Amino acid sequence: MDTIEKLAILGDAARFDASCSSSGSSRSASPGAGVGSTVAGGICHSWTDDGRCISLLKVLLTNHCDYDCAYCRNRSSNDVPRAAFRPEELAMLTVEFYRRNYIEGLFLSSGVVRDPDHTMALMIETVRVLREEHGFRGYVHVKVIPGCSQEAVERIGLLADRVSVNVELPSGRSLTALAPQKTAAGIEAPMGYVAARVAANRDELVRYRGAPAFAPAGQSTQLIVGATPDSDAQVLRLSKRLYGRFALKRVFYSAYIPTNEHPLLPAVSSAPPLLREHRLYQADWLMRFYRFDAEEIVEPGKPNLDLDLDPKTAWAMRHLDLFPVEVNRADYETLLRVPGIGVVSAQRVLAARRLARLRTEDLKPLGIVMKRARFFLTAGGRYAAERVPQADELRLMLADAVGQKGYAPLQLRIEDLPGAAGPTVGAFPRAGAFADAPSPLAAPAPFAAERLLLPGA
Amino acid sequence: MFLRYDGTFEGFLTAAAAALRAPPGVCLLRPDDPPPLLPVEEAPAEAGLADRLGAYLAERLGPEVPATVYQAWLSGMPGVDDAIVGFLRIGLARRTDPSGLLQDPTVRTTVKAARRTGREAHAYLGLVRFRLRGSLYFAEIEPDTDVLPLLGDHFAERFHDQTFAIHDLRRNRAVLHPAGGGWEIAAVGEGTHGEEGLDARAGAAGAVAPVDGFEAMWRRYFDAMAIEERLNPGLQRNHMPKKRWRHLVERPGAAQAASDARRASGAPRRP
Ligand code: SF4
Repeated sequence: MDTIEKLAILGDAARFDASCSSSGSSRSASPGAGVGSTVAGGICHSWTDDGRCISLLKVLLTNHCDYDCAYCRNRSSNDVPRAAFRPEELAMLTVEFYRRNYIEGLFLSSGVVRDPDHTMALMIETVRVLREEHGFRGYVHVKVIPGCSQEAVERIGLLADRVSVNVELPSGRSLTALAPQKTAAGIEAPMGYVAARVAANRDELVRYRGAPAFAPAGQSTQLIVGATPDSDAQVLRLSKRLYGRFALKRVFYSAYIPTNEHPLLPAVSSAPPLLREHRLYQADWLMRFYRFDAEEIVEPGKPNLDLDLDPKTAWAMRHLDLFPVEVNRADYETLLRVPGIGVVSAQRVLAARRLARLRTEDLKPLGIVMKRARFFLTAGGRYAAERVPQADELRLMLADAVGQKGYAPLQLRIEDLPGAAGPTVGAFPRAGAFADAPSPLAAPAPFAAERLLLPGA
Repeated sequence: MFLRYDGTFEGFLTAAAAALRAPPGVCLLRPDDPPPLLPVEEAPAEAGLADRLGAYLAERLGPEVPATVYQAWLSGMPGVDDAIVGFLRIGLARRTDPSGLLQDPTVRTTVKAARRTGREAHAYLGLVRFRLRGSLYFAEIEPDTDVLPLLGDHFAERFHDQTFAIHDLRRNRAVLHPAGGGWEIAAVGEGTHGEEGLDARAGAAGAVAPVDGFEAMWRRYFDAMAIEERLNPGLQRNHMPKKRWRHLVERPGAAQAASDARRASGAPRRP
């Protein structure tokens, strides 16, 4: 089979994995050797027609699989076209795509051939060829096969930027029912090993800069939602536990797209729960960046998130007695809880009000979404909306339009990230732009503020 | 008063410094701005000023100010030159980075313009597509803002062993990088087709390779990645506006079109 045919089959088979990020690792090129670098914030290279970012070449090494997970198209009992890359073939393809700037690197996953360790050996060999024979210094993310040995995790962790294991099903019961060959222990053991190893590596690197890096971009995982009856409350509690226990960088949520008929799964004709997935991403952001706890996000007695309201607005609607807050006084945590104020706009409020007292008309330029925020804010004692609405009325006004559109995963732009210094490119003119400008250090200080401000000086 | 500078960043800084020394009301002109009715003075560029002023502003106003000024200037947005002067005037009067003071229109314009350039440059770190011609990796872009100076370092570092050129078709300029060397920005003659001119300039050897098999592979891969059940062209265009599609190798929109065609003919969704 030609490489291009394999690529079509093995890309198609890998596309349901939600993770594509190339972030979390920052490695400069090494002069005179190899090719490539990584950028801390990650770079998207394209967007597919479903609106998802392509950053990495996301493929399976093979979609031959000895396992028979009920929810998976590649399971052994399905009759689908199968293919397998040779390790050198995939390494070469990655480098050629990389040199044309199609991708940031490789995202490698695989079906299980023979057993987890045999599969891992093939994946390790692929990344080894890529790193050692091609000198590739771009980004590599490898999905560890559940149930593999610690030695395999160790080897791949030394080669890859990010190593992760997909939890997929949100409860042990679902796992036993739908993925009989996998065990919770087989998933948690490598996650635990990676977490411990990454933490130890951080210490090693402090003591000895030349220590080999182990998965410098950490680990992430994916949960499938809508395949099993697990509720949002269960999913969010699980995420909280995963973030805490395994120090995950991200939990990805993937709306289940039915592919096989099975008594325990939704019918093949049913639509994927894209809006639910979107709400879970929003809830996840609240936990990671808005200082919400999983228990605050779901309404007591209601196991699933409100589909009409984003979870922060839903929280505010349950706590109307805490609002409105005064934008000139509220602390950062309180601002973060106002619907329509994000991490960036909350920081802008802090910066702007140090310089001048804020009026209602100053808020929109700070990036606050007044359509929502006006009902929850006063500025200089003035309520930001024309009048105080009734709760039902407010609910209608705040229901977002997202529900009507089919929604794809919430992919945040880099400037939405807290503390992001913005895009990673260019400061003042650098080498090349003004190649023959003298060093600023050699020149006498040219300006004093006084001189700049004195007319005609 | 009107002050015309030569269109370079150093020229701009010279003119901006002069404007800051004068009372408010000085307007800066780029060479291609239409002449106003009132007399115009010329501000000659002062060599080395960019670095010195950059260091000064960083020290006085904060480490991010030079980048904000430079990126705002690169945006080329109408009125941005005068806004930057206003921005600096506020910063120097308060001895602080004025970027937070978004209530002020000059600050707002400057910060917005800088963000626009920065965002577009970041987008092009991903959107540049090199096409292999002989041994030259050659890319064409048509950015709204002047991002070339912000791209050079990233690509020269990442692809240090490649001879490459990134041609800004709108401004007729290109980043040129010979394998193993440093990069520079050079003017590309108007009218001459960039590719040939650059071939010679970048010192690339050899004939133009007719087909690059990896391009077909990339297109095939791109098509395979779209999930029909999730098609969402609006979201795709939010991230990657249609005007950026022209110089890509992949073909955005193809999966959506195929799905529309299937639906029109009543065929079921793909197996
Ligand atoms: S292990 Fe299960 S989920 Fe993974 S490819 Fe095989 S059948 Fe699919």
